Amino acid sequence: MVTLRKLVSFLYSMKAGLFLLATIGIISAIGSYFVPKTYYRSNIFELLLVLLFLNMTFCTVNQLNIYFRSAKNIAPKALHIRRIGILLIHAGMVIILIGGTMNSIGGKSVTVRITEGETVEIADIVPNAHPFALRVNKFTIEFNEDASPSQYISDVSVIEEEKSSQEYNISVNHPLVYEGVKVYQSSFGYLIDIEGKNGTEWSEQELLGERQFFKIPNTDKAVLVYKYVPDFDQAWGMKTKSYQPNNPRIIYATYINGSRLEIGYATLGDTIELEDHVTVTFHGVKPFTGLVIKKDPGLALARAGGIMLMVGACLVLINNKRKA
Amino acid sequence: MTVFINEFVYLTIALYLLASVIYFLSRENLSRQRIAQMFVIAGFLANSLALFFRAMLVGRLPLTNGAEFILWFTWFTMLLYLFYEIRSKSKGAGGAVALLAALLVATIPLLMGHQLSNESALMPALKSHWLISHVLTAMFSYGSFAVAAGISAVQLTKRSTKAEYWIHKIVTFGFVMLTLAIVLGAIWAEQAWGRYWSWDPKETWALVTWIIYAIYFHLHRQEAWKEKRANLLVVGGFILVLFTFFGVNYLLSGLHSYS
Repeated sequence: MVTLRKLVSFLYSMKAGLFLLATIGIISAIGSYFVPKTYYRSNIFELLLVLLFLNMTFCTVNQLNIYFRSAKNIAPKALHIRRIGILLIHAGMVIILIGGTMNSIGGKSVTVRITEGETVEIADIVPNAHPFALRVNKFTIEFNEDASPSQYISDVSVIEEEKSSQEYNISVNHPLVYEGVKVYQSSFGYLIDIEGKNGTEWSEQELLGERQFFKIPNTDKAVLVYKYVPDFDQAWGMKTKSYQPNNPRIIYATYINGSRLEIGYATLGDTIELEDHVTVTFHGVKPFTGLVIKKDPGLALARAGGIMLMVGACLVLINNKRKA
Repeated sequence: MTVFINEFVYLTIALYLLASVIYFLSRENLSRQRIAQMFVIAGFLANSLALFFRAMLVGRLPLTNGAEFILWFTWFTMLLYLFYEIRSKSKGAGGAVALLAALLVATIPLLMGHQLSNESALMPALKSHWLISHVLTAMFSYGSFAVAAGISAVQLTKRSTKAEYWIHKIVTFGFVMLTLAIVLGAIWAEQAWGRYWSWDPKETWALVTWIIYAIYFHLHRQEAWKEKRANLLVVGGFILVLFTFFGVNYLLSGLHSYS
């Protein structure tokens, strides 16, 4: 019992808090070298965060206690402001940790690829979300004078039962916020409209993503749709010169029994012959937009914590006049 | 315009370097220190002009790539140092701080040569009104930690109580600005990427830096940690700041790859 009590009182001490902070710092630093994000979701790391949370909660309550006890005495006003600032910094961190935990338990964030004209049901993607559907009407890339992209815009409609649909523009830095769900512009790409034919007996048309195989049944042939290049230029190789469709090409590779035969650059509408009567036609491309659909029940708390942290920090600064 | 920028960058390096040498050779001779201060002011003007011509070239506040940030970083470092020197009436740390600034600016031609002539427009993720506040607060914090580290390094050899007071004051300012930079960055990240914290290397190392200064404040309250060990912590903290900038940009890749 005594050792347990000692352990608990140590856990609540500033020494333990600093030890935890230092350990978290060292472990985070090591983790930054490894790419997988699962590192920061490991049990040990989460345990450290829980311990830090307990330590800081106690520390905040303790500070509140001291503050109210000393508030009765006539302490200088400046010292009061400083104390409130420090209190806010600690409380803000505790609240951010709660908000972050709520997100990792009840939050969800999914990247979806949606082509123009396609509709997705939000409830299928983010469980327990307010039911509505999102249709992508158009995806546009705006350009700077130097032809580099200046903005990616998804023109979407929010469709809800018994309501007329509403239109929104989602672009980088301007997410859609609707009934607790946030939708972000995250990426974009192209699906390739490809059709295979084997004489008159078989034909099939499909939308394929980049780096996907198109297999011709009953033959040993396949086509890898490697990449769509909107502005092809020999000097740029497989990279696109710009994002404007000045010279569109589809880079593909033909395969026989799983080994590569040759690489080709097809223009839109091109038909290639793999063997007698077996052809593949590249009809065109369909742009898709990559949207992140997110629900974070802890976001409001995390934001409140962040604001407390900032306000607290500024209060400390107002009273940064302590003489040596 | 590009020509002017590079010329002012080299001039800045030369003036800061000369100032540093004169400070180190002054042996507390007041008139020599005053000459060194003149060189700091001249260097600061060259530094400001490099930023000015860069702003003219791109037609906006230059706040996006590594070289631009370095120029702001040293600009604020020397501004804060001049403020400290005039207010505290002590010129002992001038050699260390000016040398640091000269070395920092020298990394531009060494590592980021093309960046100051690059005129390409902002990428969509950077088009946000959070950019200015996030980068400026980062600059204030980095600059403060640089000055604090310079004074602390000198404290290790020649102690003064007045300097201790200033170190604590400057570190406090730097810590407050780092807190703002991290939170403003998180708010922006939530808006741009949909996540306020991604354990991106830059975020992680900014947190590690924040933690070491947080530890400094807690230990500083205890008498034993007020002297040498506290100074070492401030110097060590600044090494982490440098790693957050150079190490993360050049050794680790992540969302913050703008240079």
